[in-house]
Amino acid sequence: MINLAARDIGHHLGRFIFTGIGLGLLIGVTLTMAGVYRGMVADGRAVIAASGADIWVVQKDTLGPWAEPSSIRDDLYRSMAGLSGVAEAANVAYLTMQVQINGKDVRVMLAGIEPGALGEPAQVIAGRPLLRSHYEAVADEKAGLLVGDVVRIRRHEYTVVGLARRATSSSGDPMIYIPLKDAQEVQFLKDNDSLIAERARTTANPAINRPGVPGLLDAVVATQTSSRNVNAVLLRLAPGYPAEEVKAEIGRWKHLTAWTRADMEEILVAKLIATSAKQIGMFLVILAIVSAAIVAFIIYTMTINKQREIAVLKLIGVRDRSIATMILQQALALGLIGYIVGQVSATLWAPFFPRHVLLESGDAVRGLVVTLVVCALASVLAIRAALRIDPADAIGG
Amino acid sequence: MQNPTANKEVAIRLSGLTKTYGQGANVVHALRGVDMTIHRGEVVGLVGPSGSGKSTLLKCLGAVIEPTGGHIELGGERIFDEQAGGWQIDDLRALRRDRIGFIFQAPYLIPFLDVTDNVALLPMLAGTPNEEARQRARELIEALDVGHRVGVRVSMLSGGEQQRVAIARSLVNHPPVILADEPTAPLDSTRALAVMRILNDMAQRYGAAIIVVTHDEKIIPTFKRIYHIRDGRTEEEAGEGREITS
Amino acid sequence: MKLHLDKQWKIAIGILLLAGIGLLILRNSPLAPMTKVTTEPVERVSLQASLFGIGIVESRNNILIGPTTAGRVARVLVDQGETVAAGQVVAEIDPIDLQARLAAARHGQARADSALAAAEALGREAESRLVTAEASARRYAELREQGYVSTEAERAKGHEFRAAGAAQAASLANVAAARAEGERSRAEAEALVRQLGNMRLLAPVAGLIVARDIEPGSTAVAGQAVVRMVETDSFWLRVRIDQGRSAGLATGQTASIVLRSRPGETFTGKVARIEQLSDAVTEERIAMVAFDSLPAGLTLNEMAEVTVNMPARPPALAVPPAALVRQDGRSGVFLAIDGKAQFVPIRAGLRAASGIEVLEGLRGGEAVIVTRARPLADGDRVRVTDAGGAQS
Repeated sequence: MINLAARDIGHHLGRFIFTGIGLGLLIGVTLTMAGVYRGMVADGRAVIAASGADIWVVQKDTLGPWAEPSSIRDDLYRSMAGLSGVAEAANVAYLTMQVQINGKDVRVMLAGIEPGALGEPAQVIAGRPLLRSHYEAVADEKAGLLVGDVVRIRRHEYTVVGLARRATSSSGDPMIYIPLKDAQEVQFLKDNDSLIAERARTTANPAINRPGVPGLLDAVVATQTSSRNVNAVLLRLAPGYPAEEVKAEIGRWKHLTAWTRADMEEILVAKLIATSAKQIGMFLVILAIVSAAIVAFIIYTMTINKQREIAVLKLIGVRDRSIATMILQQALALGLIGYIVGQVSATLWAPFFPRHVLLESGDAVRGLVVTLVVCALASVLAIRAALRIDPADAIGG
Repeated sequence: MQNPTANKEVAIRLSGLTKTYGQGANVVHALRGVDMTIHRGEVVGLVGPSGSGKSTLLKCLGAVIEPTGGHIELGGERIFDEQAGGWQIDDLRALRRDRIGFIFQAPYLIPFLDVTDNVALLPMLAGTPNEEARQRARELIEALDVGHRVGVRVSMLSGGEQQRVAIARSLVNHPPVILADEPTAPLDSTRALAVMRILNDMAQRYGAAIIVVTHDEKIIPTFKRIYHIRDGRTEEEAGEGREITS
Repeated sequence: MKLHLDKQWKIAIGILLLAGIGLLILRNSPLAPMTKVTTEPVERVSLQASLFGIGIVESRNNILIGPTTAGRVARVLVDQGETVAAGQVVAEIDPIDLQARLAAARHGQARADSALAAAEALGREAESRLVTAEASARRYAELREQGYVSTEAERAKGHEFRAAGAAQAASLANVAAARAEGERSRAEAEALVRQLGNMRLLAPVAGLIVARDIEPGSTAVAGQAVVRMVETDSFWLRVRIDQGRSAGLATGQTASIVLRSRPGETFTGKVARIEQLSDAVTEERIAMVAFDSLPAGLTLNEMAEVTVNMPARPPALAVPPAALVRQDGRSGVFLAIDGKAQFVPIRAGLRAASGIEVLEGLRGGEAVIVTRARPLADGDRVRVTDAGGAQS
């Protein structure tokens, strides 16, 4: 049995390969987009898992601390530490902000943790973890800092004592861990001008600035400048203890909501990433349609260019099935070349992409199947055209 | 008139073949009752002006279009009978593949197949093992004097070489009927006569019945029998039957 | 060879396919090469911790100089940054009506004195009348005995005598009252004098004026500071140290101090006092750290970073701080055992920059992974290299 498709491709090999490469780049972009989505989900899950927390306690009815702003008193963790099943409780503060690093503005997620307590980075790949209670930092390597660098965050300068890897927020921003008290100040204490203005307003208020009560004004000003809130409390449970129980217990408290790890993952994936997921999904559909159109067009053109030959073949007795098979095989071959080129390029350029691109083998297989199916469908147009060719046209006149 | 080269069986018989295109005011009677008899081993000419129905006749013979009336017999088998409902065979394409060989005005070789594969294509697609098919192809190619071009790309062959390959293709399944449509039109007299010599050779060797549609003055004298066609009707005439000297 | 052309195509496509899929699998699988790590054996180390805290410059005693009653500030005689001697007048409150009231009191005093003199004079008169009345009564008694006068006459004279006695008693009482009135007036005047004295605010000890809070013309209430001062050379640092990290804090320990206003210099000091009241809200202990030698130009409320040096502790099992990791939330270390990383949970004690004390979980001598080229998971294959090769 002779393979007409192989012969035809071999005859126009250069053009075919060239088209395949073009298609491949398109497929590569598609695979990369899917990889971006997977990367976002993986990053989100990594952030949640890296904290080591089994339960996240946030302000009542919020999805915090990342999906929504959440603010709770920082002394609540003491009562939670006493709940049955809780092995460790720790305050954390999170804030996304711009920090100047090496002359550039870098978007980071500032994480305020108690050195040595839950919420600290799981491992450092350089330097050491946080030990002091002020003015030290551990940064993710993506921030561009090295051990020993000094970075200015709002009012103070922090010495980088350690580096972490894969410590990023769910949107891919590198994290910088600093002691909780410093983070509280960063988050809740305003800048000097605002403070001075606030102080002036308070001083001008006769209800507070009473001559008969010396010291009242100072006390009120002091409360305005103190920061006694955090964004969440992390709980680590005794091994095997059911998280749902603790979650239900805290849910009964008046001002708090508790989320388990599974809840947090769902919040992140379903809510935070949902919009991006939709966008990426639409993008994938569009790319699939465009790819199908390209394949259809190329195969159709190749078929029409063989109009005379197909008429001759039909005339001398070649079956429709053989002709259709040839066209289908050409479309599949184009798809296969495109897929391989796409997969290889995506693998090669993924590390350099600004977002985390995670190419899963499941996606690779799915991509192959979809590519082949799309190519098969795209060939239908050309096959229909081929079948309509009248063998009589081969005999002129 | 008796044809000295006519032997045994009738390969093709047409009786009252008609073909009408169109309807109402636009009706075209391409064929108005054609009768024709051709024996195995004969090379017969079909001559007529353009518009006379030559191509239509070939297309009917080649089972490419459906006649409107009359009947067609190939090798004694009635393949078309208008009164019996039309085509009497289900798979026309198989008919063309196995029992009819086509030679066109231009070689129409498949450009992405090499010489051998162009010739061996039909048997290979029909299921014949590649080796055997290619072997048969090579034999024919040798016989047609293009053996030195085996394995070469079609585009590298001269016009005459391509034509000979095309003839080989039409012969590879040893069809009992060969329809040739202006096979010598683009050729000069030497080449044209060479082609006719090959056809006559094939007819003799394999017993094929060959109809050659032509208006090429250079080769008409070589036919022993000629059918003239005009306005959809044929008339038989004895030809010169000149010998072709190489 | 022509005959194998079709097969060649199939093989070529097959190889391409396999290559592609192979590439995928290789890149995506966790068939990653071994992670480079460095290890150190777990040893007993004498850890020297240092406690770190943020300090704020305060003075040992803040003296608020102000009036005891509400008044209007008349003059402020000193300004910020001036040194004053003990007893120096720093400000004066406007006495307003005090002078007038003192004058009134003095007048009252004078009047009281006059009243006393009058009462005394009257007393003398009464006494003289009494003497006379007594003599008269006695004579009449004698005369009655001789029958020269009537009993009524005698009684009348007796009555006169008694009346004179009563009058004399009354006059004595008047004198006493007048005297008391005189005392009262004097006391009142004295009180006003003292109050007038309070209108002058004095520095109780020698020291430095740190704030001038009320300007002349403004009103000050009782207890409000017009001027704030501190004793000379009484600046020290109020340092807040995390409770959890304050083990071993004791008075007398040395400290190094970096002022925020002078980042390049380091000063030395000692822990002078540890406050009995810690801060429950911020969970910090408070220590007062005194400078060994007070830097010139120090101002109140300046910030400083203070590191208190702890004495070296007896040797204890410790690991380098970089070795501490968390897996699934639990603290521990990775040990390099048979080319694989194995996680061991530990309970940590003191956390110093030189090492983390291990209270539970390690025996000593194990090869603990100190640095790793990439984050490890339990069971990962590792390759131990010399120090210096594992930083990514």
